[in-house]
Amino acid sequence: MNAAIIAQLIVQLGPVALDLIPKLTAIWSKPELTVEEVRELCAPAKKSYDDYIAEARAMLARK
Amino acid sequence: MKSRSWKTTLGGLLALIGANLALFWPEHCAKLGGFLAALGSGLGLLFARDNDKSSEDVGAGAGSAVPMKKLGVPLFAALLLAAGLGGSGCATSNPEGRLLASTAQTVDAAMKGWSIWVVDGKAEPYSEVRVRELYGRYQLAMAAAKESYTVWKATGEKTPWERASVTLRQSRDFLLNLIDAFQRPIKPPLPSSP
Repeated sequence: MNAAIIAQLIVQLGPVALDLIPKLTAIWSKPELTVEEVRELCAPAKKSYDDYIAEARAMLARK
Repeated sequence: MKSRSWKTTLGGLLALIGANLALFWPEHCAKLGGFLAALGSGLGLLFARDNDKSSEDVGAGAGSAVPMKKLGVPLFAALLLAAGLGGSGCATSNPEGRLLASTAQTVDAAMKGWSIWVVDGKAEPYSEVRVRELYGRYQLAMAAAKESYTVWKATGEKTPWERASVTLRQSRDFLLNLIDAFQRPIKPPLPSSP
């Protein structure tokens, strides 16, 4: 993944790419990725459906 | 004067450049060429419109309150993974761990977009039940994949990981496709012919 592709994703996808793409880029460009790091990066999968809804409610309430 | 869609044109150009790189410079650019070709094709198709769909059919020009600019974002990220991010010159050690981590981050982004959609009151009760159910299945698949990945790294036993990673990919794709489908505007029925 290079700068040109990242720039294109930002143009194509808008603001959300600014959040997701850097994370994916970091994951795939790190020279080494340990088992511990993988475990940490997978932590969001532990969040329940209701956690996501609660986060969204809190975020929209702040706006 | 007819105007071309710059998005599909760009996708086509990328695909052409990628295919030519792979064909004429295979010793240096086979992977990058293949990646660009897949990326260009994917982008082109994502932004293309069937020729029997009008602007009204696809909602072109209408204001959209979709929380993520394009809810195809997670799908697009999945496409990137499928096209082989690791083959574009990036580090490729531990691709299995990178797959796990990328999947978790991609689904996380999709769920954040979905939950805003729900809290905004745009989701049908039925669709919320289905997404909740598939997210639960994805969580089970992710837990099994993480466990088998850890066992594999500790003991060298790879078979459980191979099975678990297939299930994980399937559950991820089912969930992302469902979220994407539920966030598309419902098309009006076609007028019946006289």
